[in-house]
Amino acid sequence: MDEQSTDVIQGTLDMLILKTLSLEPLHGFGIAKRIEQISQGVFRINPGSLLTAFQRLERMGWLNSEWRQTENSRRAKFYSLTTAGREQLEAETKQWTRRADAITRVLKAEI
Amino acid sequence: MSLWRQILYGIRKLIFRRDHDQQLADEVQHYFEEAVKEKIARGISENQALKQVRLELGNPLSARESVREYGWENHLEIFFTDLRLTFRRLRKNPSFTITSVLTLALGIGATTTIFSVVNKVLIQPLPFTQSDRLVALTHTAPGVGMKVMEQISPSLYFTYLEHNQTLEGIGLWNIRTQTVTELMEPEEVTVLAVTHLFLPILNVNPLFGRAFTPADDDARNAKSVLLTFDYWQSHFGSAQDVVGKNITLDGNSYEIRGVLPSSFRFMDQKFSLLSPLQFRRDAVHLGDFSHRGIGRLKPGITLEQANTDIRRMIPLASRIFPPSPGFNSTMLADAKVAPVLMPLKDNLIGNTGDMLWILMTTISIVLLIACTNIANLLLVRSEGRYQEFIVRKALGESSGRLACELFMESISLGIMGGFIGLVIAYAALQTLTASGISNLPRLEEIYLDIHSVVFSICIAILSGISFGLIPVWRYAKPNISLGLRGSGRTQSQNRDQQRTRSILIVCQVALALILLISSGLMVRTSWELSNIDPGFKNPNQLQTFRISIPHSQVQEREKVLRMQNDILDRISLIPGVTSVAFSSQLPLEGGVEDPVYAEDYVHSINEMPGVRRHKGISPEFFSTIGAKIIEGRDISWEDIYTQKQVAIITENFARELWQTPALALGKRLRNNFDEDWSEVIGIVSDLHDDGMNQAPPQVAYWPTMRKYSAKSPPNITRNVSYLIRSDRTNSSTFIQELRQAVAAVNPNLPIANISTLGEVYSRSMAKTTFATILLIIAGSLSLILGVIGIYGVIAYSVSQRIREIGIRVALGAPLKNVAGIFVRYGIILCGVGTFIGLIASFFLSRLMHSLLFGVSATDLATYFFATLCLFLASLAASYIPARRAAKVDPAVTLRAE
Repeated sequence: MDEQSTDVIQGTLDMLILKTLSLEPLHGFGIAKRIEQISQGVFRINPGSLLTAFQRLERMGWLNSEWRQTENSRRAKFYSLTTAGREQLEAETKQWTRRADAITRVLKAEI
Repeated sequence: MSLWRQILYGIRKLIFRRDHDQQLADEVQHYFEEAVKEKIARGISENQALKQVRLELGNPLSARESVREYGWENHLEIFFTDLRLTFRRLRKNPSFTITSVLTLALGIGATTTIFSVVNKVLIQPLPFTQSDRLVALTHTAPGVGMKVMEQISPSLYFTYLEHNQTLEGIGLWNIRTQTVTELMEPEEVTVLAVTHLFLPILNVNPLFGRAFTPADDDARNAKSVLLTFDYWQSHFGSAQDVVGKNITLDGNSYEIRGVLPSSFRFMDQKFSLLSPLQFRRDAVHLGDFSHRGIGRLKPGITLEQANTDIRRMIPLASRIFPPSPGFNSTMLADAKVAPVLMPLKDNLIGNTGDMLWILMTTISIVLLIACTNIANLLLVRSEGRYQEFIVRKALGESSGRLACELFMESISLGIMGGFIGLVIAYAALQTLTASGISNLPRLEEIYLDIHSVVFSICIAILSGISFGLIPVWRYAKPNISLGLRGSGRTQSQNRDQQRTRSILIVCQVALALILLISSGLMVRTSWELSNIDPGFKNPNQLQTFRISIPHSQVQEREKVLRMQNDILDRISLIPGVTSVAFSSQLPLEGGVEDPVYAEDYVHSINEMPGVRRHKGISPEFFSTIGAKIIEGRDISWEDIYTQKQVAIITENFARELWQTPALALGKRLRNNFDEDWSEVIGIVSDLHDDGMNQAPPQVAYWPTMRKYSAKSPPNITRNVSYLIRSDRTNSSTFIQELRQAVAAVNPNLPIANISTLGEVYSRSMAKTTFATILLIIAGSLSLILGVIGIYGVIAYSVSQRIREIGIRVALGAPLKNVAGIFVRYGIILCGVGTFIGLIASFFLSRLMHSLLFGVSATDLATYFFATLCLFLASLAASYIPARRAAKVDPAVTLRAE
């Protein structure tokens, strides 16, 4: 494993998944790969926690899932964002930005 | 919203488990395949790619498992799997399971039964709205020697009604018997006579029809009745048009006003009709304490405030109403009448509370002993699984899981015991209410209700946890390093277990001794009570019934007497009848309480003589019941017909006034200043009229037709109880012949209350009998459980030390010594337990004080015999396994391992 890669910050995995899916429906590995790529390999996600997160989010009503053919004609479970999920993403993003800004301000403050 | 989805998803997952697992497997597999594909696409060889993916993503199986564990339904599944395993384990060991479930079922069943009784009788409010504000208007009159005076006079009632400031309403009530004619066969019915506020105070409305009005309280107005639901059903076939019809009571016509709801009960009285209690206000005087009063406190008023209010009104009554004939206007003050209001519920349940709480405690102790026994059994079981626990622990199972499993086993046992216990409680309550053995108040209200069910489930789980706690505490954290070393259990572990078990046994013995002593005390009490000479002999051979000759049928007093006499004569002709008599009240049924003046005692004008009990009797009353005339003679028919003014008094009465019975002969008595004197012609042995555990009251017996003064007409008792001595009592032919004898004299007289004096006698002791039986059951159960416990511990200890015994025997230890080790061990356990039990009993048995009679709570003999009994039993329980130890063949045991 890369030295750079870390575990996803506690509680943010849901947000990352929602964000990734906000562009287009994807299957499990697709989501993991997308997060890894976009975070430039900082976040590496283990399949156990990713798939568990899907279960959770689906139960919250933020995700829909369906079995579809992939481009290379394999059956895969695709996840897509629901309206409630989109709202949740917005709310979480706002929350996160507010917090991150605050943390940054605290860290940069010259005491 | 999201909760619903949670539940829905969970259920769907549970139902389509296989489908769901397949999908998950597919998804995980796809994930891994994609990962591999991606590596290959980057130009890595397939083999290498597979390896890297394994390294980076881990095992697909463990990923699958971690996803699978998500969701509440998963815990449910684990729970059920564990439960299935638990039951499989319990089924594999049926003797253990059956023993402990049955032991527990007995304990829980008994506890639930008593709880149901306690809850219904003591805890639940009376079935009226805001019943905590209902009070009984009871008084005390120390001036005439009455500590509690349940009865109240109409004068006080009117005074309170009109002048009180603390009561929302007050009412009088009275139970009387009247004869219904012109409906079916003539029938005696019990009537609850009440003033008009009675039903509003209780907040009861007729099912239909109208309630009583203030006008109904006036004796000059027309008479009416309300039917009870049962009477309406049985005598009017639930006809809707009864309202407005008439019913004939004692020859008078009463208008039927309505029907009471079926739920209406009052003070455990059995009555068929409700009629107004009528007075003529202008004829009311201070006396006539023959009614009972109830009231409803205004909201926020305490008993104390109401008492103060009423105390203020008693002198007021003396000013408003004239004194009773022959009394002084200060009669209430002379008698020192003062109010002691009590909650209606307390008035109803009386002193039953003590007994029930004591029984509740003792039965709970039995349950505790049962739990201790099962805890011991579970300890042995867990010890057998010790190796398994250690291995599981070593393989990484958490202590929590192990504890859960142990608890699940004990709680399952508890719940199974609880369910069977509920069945037992149901049956026990049925028997209890049907048999009437207990003579408990509010018995009709007792049944297995939701409270009892919840209670039994709670104690089932609680006891499951409590006896599960010990094995959990001992085994859920097995010491792996110690446990895995060597194949056997280590010595220290063993000693630890033995100590836990020993402590449990000591507790058991102590608890059992407490119960044995209390049941011993109760047995002594019953014995003492049954040894008391009640004042009559062989009550089971005394058939009794009551006949009332209403005024409407026979008006002349002499004719009434003649009729009663004729009935008596006819009965005496029935084969098998040795003698027959009648009286105004049966022994044990009380009588009128009135003061008695003695001629040679000068009572100052303000001094009230003590109140005595009065009964009217026919000749041969004493010889029939088996009482002894100590001095003088019996009343004769001639005395009665010629209206001689004579009386017979009991020995204790005579002794109080004249020291020796002989001196009382010829002395003269009267009830009132304006009466003629009656001569004492006989002294008779005492009668325990208030029950065997009460001192016999002083009784004055008067001729059944009695003349008070030369001016006034004689007074006749129209309602008399016949007492027939015969060895044919309660046989149906005998009762048929009695009916025929009565009918031959007057076919319109209903016979009521057919019974034997024996039944009246046992009813008077029902409370003690009930407590004794329950305590004997509790005591013997605890003895059996205790003995089983000791046996188990000693036997187990023998089996643990079988090698040591083998060595000892092989080295030539005498058999007696080997057995002695274990017997000594048993005796030590029993000794320590006995010691603790004795000390605890010494303090606890005082709580039983109110149940005891003729025996002190710290009665040495009882303590000694209970201890001896327990000691011998435990000696036997430890001797049997010890003897087996002594018979050990060293060759066999030493080769065994």
